[in-house]
Amino acid sequence: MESTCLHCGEHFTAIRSSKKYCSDNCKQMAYFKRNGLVLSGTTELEPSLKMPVVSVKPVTTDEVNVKYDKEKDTVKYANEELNVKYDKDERSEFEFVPLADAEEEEEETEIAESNNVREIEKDTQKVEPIKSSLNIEKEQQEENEPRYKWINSKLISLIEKKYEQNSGGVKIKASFDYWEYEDAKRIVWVNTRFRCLAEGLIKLSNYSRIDQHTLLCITDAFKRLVTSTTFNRLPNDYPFKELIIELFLGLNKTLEEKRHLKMLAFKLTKERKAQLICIRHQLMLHTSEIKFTEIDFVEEKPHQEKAQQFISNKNETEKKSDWRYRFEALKKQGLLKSQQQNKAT
Amino acid sequence: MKPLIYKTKQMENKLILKRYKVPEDLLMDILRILFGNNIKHQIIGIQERQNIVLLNVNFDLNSIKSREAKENMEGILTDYSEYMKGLLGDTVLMLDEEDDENEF
Repeated sequence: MESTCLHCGEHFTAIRSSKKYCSDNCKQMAYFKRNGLVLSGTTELEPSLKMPVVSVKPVTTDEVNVKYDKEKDTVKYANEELNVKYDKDERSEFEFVPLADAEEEEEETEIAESNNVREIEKDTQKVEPIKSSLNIEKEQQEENEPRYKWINSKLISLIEKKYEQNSGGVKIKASFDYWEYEDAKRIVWVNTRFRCLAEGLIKLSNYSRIDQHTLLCITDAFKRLVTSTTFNRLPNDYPFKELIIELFLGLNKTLEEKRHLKMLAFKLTKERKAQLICIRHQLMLHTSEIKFTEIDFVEEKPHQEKAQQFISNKNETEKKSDWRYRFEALKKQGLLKSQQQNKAT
Repeated sequence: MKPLIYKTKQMENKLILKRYKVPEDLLMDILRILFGNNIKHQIIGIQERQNIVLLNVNFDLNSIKSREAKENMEGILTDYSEYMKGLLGDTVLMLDEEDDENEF
């Protein structure tokens, strides 16, 4: 039967009605053209390979519809339904995705489209659709998902706010630069103890229950701090003086109210807790750590007093040594006298 | 027929399980993140003495929302750990799956 080659347009005798190309070469070239591939060594299509524009559909050619069914994963070729064969493992990695929708595909399988001349410049555009389809999918996924709303922790926001408000940090960093020597020493003494007590309060607030004895111990420690001479001699611009007094009064009140309970829930308000965490974090960097079991309230003596004490200690030792010397001497004399007396008798 | 384009589909399992110890102070914030973003989670233990909750959270790293939620949660826990340095003892808030949960 007579047929026309879809690639070169030449008439040829075909044995079967579905034959489209006159030779394997034409068949191959048509495939290249459809997929936008070019033979190596060629820069453009040879004039003989250029297809003339055919405005009228050739009557002799049979239209063959090829349709891919995504759901069933089959290809419908003419009247046959063929399964797409590939390994199951590979299938998990690759997914065949037709570019257009099914309706558009029916139109695009018409022969007229295959007769159009394609320029080589369009080849480079073939690479982009792969990337753009991936990007489009990602964008669509992002558009579908509502935007994430960032949640800030209330406690941490409060702590950061306290950091901004708290001016104590500057003074705490360099106490000896900011205050006079004696005042700075007192401040360091108080800060060390306050850090320990603040840590204690924070830890206790994290527990579900504490016993009364623990509350008593920490209240007592605050009392010792507040009533110490060093604390009362602090400079007026010491940033934590009022807070320490407030905490002591609060603890004292709680102890009096809950005296009848053996175990009690000890909770700080979020504001108070944030304040203590902030102050403790500042003190942590510039103050030495003491365990609660090792805390003492032996007061720091001023330098002059220390010097005087040192001198008096030294004098006393000297006196002692002198006295011993005298004592020995007297003893000897006494002994000697007594011995003499003994000798006399 | 138009040429078919191969599209790679990463089928690696991007579902991860993370375990966290959430103190009482942060519990409401963390739960707000989990409920607000429909993230699968499970409370697997409670330490009554220190008021800490042990949570298993499933994150889908393919989802942007899930990734952001993970970042949000871990940011909060990291900040809290920093401010509470030395006060939490040996308690680590972000655990690996292999860590024991004996105290719970």
